[in-house]
Amino acid sequence: MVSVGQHENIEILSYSEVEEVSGFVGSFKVKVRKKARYVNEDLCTGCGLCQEKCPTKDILSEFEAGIGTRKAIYMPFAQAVPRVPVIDTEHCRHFQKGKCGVCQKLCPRGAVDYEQEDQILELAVGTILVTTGFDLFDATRAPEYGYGRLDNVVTSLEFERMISASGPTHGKVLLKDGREPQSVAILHCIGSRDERYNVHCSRVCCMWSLKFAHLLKDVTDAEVYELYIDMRAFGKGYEEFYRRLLREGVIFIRGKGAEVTDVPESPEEEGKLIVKCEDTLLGELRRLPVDMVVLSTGLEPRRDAVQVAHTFGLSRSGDGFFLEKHVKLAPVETASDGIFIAGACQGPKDIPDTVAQAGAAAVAALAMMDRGKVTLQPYVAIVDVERCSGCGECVLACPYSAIELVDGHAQIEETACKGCGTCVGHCLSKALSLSHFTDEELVAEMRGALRVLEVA
Amino acid sequence: MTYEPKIIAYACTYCSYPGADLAGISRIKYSPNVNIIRVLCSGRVSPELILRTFREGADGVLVLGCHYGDCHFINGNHRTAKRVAVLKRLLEYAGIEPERLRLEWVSASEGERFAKIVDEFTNTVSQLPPIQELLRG
Amino acid sequence: MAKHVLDLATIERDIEFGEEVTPDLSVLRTCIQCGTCSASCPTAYAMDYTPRQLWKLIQLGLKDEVVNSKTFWLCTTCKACTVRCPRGIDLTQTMIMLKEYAVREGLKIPEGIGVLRETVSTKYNISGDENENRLIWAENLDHRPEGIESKEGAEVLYFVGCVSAFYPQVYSIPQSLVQIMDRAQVSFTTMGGEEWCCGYPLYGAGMKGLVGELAKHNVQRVQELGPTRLVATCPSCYYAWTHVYPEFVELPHELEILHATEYLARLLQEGKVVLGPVERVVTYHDPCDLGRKSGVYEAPRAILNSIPGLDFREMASSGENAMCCGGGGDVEISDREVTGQVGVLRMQQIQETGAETVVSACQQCKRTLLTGARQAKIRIRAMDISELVLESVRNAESQ
Repeated sequence: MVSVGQHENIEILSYSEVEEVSGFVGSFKVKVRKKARYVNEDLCTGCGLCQEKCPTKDILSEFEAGIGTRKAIYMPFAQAVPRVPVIDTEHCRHFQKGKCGVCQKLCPRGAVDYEQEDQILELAVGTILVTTGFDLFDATRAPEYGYGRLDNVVTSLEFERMISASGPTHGKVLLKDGREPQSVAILHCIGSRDERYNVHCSRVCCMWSLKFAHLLKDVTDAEVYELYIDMRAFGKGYEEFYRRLLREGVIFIRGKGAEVTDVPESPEEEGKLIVKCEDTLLGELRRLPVDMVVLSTGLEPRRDAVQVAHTFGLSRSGDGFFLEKHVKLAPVETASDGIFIAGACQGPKDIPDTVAQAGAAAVAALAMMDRGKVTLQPYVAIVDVERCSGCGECVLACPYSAIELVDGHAQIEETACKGCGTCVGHCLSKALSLSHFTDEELVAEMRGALRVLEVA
Repeated sequence: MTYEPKIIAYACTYCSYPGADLAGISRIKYSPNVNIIRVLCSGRVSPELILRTFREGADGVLVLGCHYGDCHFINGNHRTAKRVAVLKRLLEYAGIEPERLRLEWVSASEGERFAKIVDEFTNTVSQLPPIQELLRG
Repeated sequence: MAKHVLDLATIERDIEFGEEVTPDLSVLRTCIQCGTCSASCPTAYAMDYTPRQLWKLIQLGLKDEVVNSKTFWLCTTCKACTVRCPRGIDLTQTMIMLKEYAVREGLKIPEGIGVLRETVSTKYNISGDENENRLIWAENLDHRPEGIESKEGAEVLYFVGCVSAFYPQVYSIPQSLVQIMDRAQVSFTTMGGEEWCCGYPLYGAGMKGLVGELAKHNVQRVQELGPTRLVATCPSCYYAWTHVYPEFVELPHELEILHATEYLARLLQEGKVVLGPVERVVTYHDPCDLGRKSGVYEAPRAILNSIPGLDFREMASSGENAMCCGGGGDVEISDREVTGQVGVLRMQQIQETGAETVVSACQQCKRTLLTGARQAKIRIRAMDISELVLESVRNAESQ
């Protein structure tokens, strides 16, 4: 990201949201709200003193998946670009109670600006790439696993931060009471391949589950159980990695974890989390007493995917992810020329596939920019002035306000007209027609179609 | 009624036509009685076009567009909905069964739904007399 | 131990079998053999084939293996499998259809089930006792409410159910409800000796066909008495009236059918019942026929949360995830020991909450839990919610 930040042709608008998109390929108008972070980006050097001295701590950190904390003025994560903090006004003492102000006092560059306001930017761009990513399945929707109720039931993202050397536990896998677990169960397919939640397979969880098992074997002495239905190790080196895990002594049980409980049925189960499953390969019911349960929760479209889709005029496929133009032949294009999608927002995928798609989308956009010209579809409405009665119905009907009444008859603004034909469908005088979709053409097509049906 | 009805479907480019396409890609079987004419937006489909379609011998007309809020052209589908509603009453007045005309919203991912609608509509229309009988009389 | 080998090449496979024993065979085929059903099943430990294995055998058309297994006769129809199945297969219905198949084809069925059929068909109740004795529980009441038997035009018809009527262990349930309704000045009645078994035990035994006669009789009697609503303390009766009867008989349009918890919650809301303090530590056991099968989770909790002084603790395994007590599906008739073992397990879960009393809303659950408590020597009381409400009402009166 640093090289992105330093590139002269790239401007990063962070902490910003796209509010409105209009126009068409080659000539999009994008309204962006750059939200106030209350820190002047031009003055801030990223020294981090404000963050260090802020008295408001113990706020659950979004980046640390809620298992670590941050301050009220904070940089989202250590590698953030730009390296400029933001003030969380809901927790900041200055914004809530009018007190403190330590960060402003201490900042050597005077970069903290409590009066900063949101900025609205109007961008004129030729192409748009949407790469808004995914959200994880919310495990509280499946209460049988005890997530949120039982200590030491964690999601994959929480475990990821725990095992990360730069995470809140500095890479140590710890239970809530600070002990190291003696046994860990990793449950696949939580919220995926499930009619109740997401029917699709989330593609990446089998591999990250194996990664977790491997890391656990590396940094702890814990017994590791992998509860799976199918092992999806489809990529380059993936099957080999699965084989390696088998050799390392991870216990693989083919059976979906059905329930996690803390109610013991025998003395050995006291103080443990018990995972209930059927070992389908052996045909045996199992109760596994473990110290920690990692739920490999599935990938879903982001919670605001519907709004984002509407903003950019994107369709969504049945699983809710953004719809590509053609799933095999045009996976990064969309039905709207000039708007591309890439990465997990198009469907669950891992890093190699995301990078490949990002490259493809970038090149597609660059190719357009390089040509400097766009081929537009030639559909445009045409007025037969002689027939037009000047009733003005079409003016009201047009979704793009591309029609005006001039000298008593309709006049089409060709650059604004998208060729939808709604005005044509409306016109009572049959004065409007749509080039390449005229009544004559449609009727001829329809008559031919009827003849085909007759023969069949 | 055991005749094979002839049905014309007008499908919009951005939602219902790809939806029908998806039914094809997924090899979903549906009644062969429907032939699809692509338009850019369901809003293009005028009442006269629908009437002309009946006059040319279609036993049933299916108009397919995007779900509300999803129309690629913002609100073309709203216009279509109003037009079809009024046209159905006119059909009834003119002695043509309004069940011969059906409006449905199909999104680009609803291949199964497209097939189901086609099957249902074919069944409905096959219960009515062939349009030729109405045109003759 | 020699391995049992299924030779698919020479064994006769019945392809049509699958169509007859599951609502939609194409959906059953989507089973990914994940084992969630087996792991969620309270009685799977006692089965020869686990539920998961049974679905595979059905798909393969291995009819003999399937019909000769103990599996579906041990199903309590608790529905835990169905609510968790990631493919959305109606597994509980499949278990019931397997029982129906066995009965229909005249195959070997558990002895107790055969006896049940005989008893209900001739005596119209499950105990074999005389139906006219259905109101014996009312004899112990201080004051026998007027019109308790067959009063025409009463607002509420209280459908008592066989278990409450013939098992003294749970007489206190109808006794409690009746006393509450009396205090609330509700105009109610019962069918008395004219009440026939609701038919649920036959439905659960794969004998749905025999329910029709019972349904028609009960509905006709209700029509003759003309109440506005029918209230049942038994969730199985409630389930039978709401989910099974419509297949056989048209219910009177204006008849509102409620479980006692729904009715009591409504009485509370309308201020017809005043609750006094009850200083108990309790937990609630969701009956399967009321919770997972009928969707009633909120009403009993609304009542418990309205009782002043009550320390109400939810179990870990509650609501849609509540474990079955083991008393359903006529399993008690097929294999009493299994029901007992499951009851013990459930009581152990109840014990974990630290509650001294487990409250439920089903007389069968109360019986099963009491048996479990006794077997495991757990000193926890099992009460029906109507008993608890009456206690609370009495406490309010004595204040």
